Amino acid sequence: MIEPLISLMLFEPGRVFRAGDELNCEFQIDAVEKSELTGVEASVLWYTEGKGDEDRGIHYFERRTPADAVGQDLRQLHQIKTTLPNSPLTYDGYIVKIRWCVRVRAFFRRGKEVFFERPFQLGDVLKPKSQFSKSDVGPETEGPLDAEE
Amino acid sequence: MPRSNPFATRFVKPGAVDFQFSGSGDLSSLLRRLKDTGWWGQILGPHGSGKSTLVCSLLKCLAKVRRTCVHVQLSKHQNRAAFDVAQTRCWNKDTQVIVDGFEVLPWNCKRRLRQVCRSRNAGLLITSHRRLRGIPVLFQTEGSEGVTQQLVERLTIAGDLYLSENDVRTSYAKFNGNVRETLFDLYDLYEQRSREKQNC
Repeated sequence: MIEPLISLMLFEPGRVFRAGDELNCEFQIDAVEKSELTGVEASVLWYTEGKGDEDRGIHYFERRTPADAVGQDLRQLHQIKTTLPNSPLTYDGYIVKIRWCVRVRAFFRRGKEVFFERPFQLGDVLKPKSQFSKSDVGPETEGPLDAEE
Repeated sequence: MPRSNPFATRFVKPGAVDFQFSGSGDLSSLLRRLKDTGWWGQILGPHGSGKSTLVCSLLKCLAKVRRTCVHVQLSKHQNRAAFDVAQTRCWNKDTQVIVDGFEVLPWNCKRRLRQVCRSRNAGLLITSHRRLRGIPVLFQTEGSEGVTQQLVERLTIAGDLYLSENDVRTSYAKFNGNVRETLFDLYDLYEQRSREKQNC
């Protein structure tokens, strides 16, 4: 059986944004019957990645059902846009990283779901020192979340 | 774009990876055994040996056989199960109560929970570090270097950074078979190598 395909494109080729920039993207879903799709969710979110507990924040969210789509067809090309916030900025730390992405989740009959993420960078926080030493570990946990607050 | 570390929590937490049986055994036979014991059972094993991962893998199977699962995860810091009376009134023969970390509950809560499950004919599946009387042992988890090697191979397959069998062996030995701590140690090693590579 062919897996449904989600295509997602950001209008910023380098996928690097500054706080306050407008993020524009569009997506469409292929390789699936129109009647199979029961809902599509699109979100712009950040999440932490590292060794410990995880955190996340949803900056933008929309959910569409067939009733919201032209011809009740959720597969069609759809565009979303949002203004990006001041924080938290993308951060590539040692014990914690902050990632931003656009995520599209498609829901099908019989409970199946498929999702696709396109990461992007928000801001340009300097990376911690490349050469790892234990002294890097402490301060960085408090760094980027407060960067522009 | 920054690269992901394949040993980050989001990739290795229970539910993100499926439980790997080191010897004989599989999920369907475990499910059959649980059914045979009236949906009561305990999963035993030391820290970081995969008890929670096994529970998450079993949850998917239990949903398929139409068990209504009530899943609670407890720890030293969260040692109270938040079951209110109204919730327990809805429990019936199709309910599967799952308490991960049952042993941290105070003795009176343990007893009460068992009583409620019995009186409602609900199933009770628990995980614990040591054997508890009155609940059949369903499975005993233990760390295995072979399984850890396979897991590391799967996690790093898409990346461009290689960790050798010896790296895994060294970490595994350092943490006396605690797979969770081994993976956290490999997170550090991966991060260190990744930064060294960027430096070059």
